[in-house]
Amino acid sequence: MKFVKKNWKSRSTIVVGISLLVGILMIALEQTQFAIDINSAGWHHGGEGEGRPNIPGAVLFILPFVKALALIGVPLLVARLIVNIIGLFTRKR
Amino acid sequence: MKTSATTAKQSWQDNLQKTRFVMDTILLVSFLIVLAPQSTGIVLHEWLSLVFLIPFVIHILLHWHWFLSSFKQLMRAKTLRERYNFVLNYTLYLLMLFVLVSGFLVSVALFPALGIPLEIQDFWSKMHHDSATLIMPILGLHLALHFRWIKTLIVQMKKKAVS
Repeated sequence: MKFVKKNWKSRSTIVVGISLLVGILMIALEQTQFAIDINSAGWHHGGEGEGRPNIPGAVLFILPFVKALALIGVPLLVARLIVNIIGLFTRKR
Repeated sequence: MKTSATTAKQSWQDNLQKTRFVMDTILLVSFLIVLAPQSTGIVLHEWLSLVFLIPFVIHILLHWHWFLSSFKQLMRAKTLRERYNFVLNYTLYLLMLFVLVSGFLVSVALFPALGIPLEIQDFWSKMHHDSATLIMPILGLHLALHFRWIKTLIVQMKKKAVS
């Protein structure tokens, strides 16, 4: 782990410091009109009071991982496909 | 006498590229777990998000020199790939921060357990949900950009494991 430990205290302090500063600046977004509009209109994720869907527990457990893998994997594959197609045309020239 | 497992362990730790690969794999797996609060439950999701900060910071530490030279590299960038890499990496960093900050601001278990009362705003709930959804395709593009490096490292690690 020598590469992780190299100057890790000073470097981590810089990373955490910058991240905290940027994070605090992000909190200021709640003062914007956009935030005020969302807060006054209200927002809820998913259907409320609809109860649990009639799906087996194992599937319910796996589905969020499948969703994450698909949302990461599809753009990855599409990007690779585009890179390969571009590579094919540039090599031909 | 050293076992082959010990030798293999020492070798990846002595090689920067392999250390990056192992730590990045841990980062990706932990991120996938954190991305599924419906599976882990909200309480575990929030505590794991706090733990996730460790591999996230390690990832930045292992690419420290890239961060230091990134702005100079952008000025000297000749290819579209280099510019795209710069924009994508910083977008991912800022988006990751936004997901973490908004997540902490809608905390129902972590902050109350630490004795910090929070008044949860719908704005942050929406921002956390939307940014967490957006970060996944951005991560996919980040992985696509480094796909050749990932493929090479997998082949190298496989060869080492077999020999």
